[in-house]
Amino acid sequence: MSAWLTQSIKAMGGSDEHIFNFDLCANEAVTNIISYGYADHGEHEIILDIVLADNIFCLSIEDDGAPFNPLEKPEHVSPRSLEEAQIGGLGVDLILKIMKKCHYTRVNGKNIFKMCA
Amino acid sequence: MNITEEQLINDITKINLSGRMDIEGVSHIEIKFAEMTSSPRVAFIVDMSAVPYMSSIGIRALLINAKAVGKRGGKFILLNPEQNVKNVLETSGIDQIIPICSDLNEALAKVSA
Repeated sequence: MSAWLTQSIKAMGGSDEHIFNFDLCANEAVTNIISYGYADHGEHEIILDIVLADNIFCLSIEDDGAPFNPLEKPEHVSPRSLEEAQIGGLGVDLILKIMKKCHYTRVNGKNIFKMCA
Repeated sequence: MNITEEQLINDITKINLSGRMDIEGVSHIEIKFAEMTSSPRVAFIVDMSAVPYMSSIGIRALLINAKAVGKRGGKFILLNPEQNVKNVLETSGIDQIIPICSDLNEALAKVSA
């Protein structure tokens, strides 16, 4: 996935920062889908598609896992101390902070999460 | 990923991480990392300069170890993360609870304080 993203963004003229940010956010999103989206242990398809329009890259990720809207997650509060810091839950927070725009829909039993920057 | 350690003055342990800190990378080093930061050691400088990428799994690995060290009253400091990695640490607010230094002398002073 990282290799495909790197290649695609480079071919469309994206910067190293674009590559790093999309690589990171795609990894976070797909990790969540694989970890929490499926009750069975069967094979599933996760479809990624990246487009460039008006100098903005948009990556959409489609999966047939349990309904999950990352945008409904309560906003993560930065910890004030090491003792207080929660382990985990950081992935979605990173996506929402790094990407300029995110959009979620549930269509025909599929989650479609789109993120743009 | 790879992980190595070296002993510095004053019982300070320097841990050198290298490679992508993603799910796969972290799975290769997490056990060693926990062993290296275990008791009775209390002073750690974690060299991040050879880590080109970090996802939330990487942050998690740093937090787990930093928390364990903090619980024993120890010090845990990050040295020299690449700009991209530093941005991830700052975006998640981790830089507010785990100190980041850009040079070894500064890190040595902080960890000995």
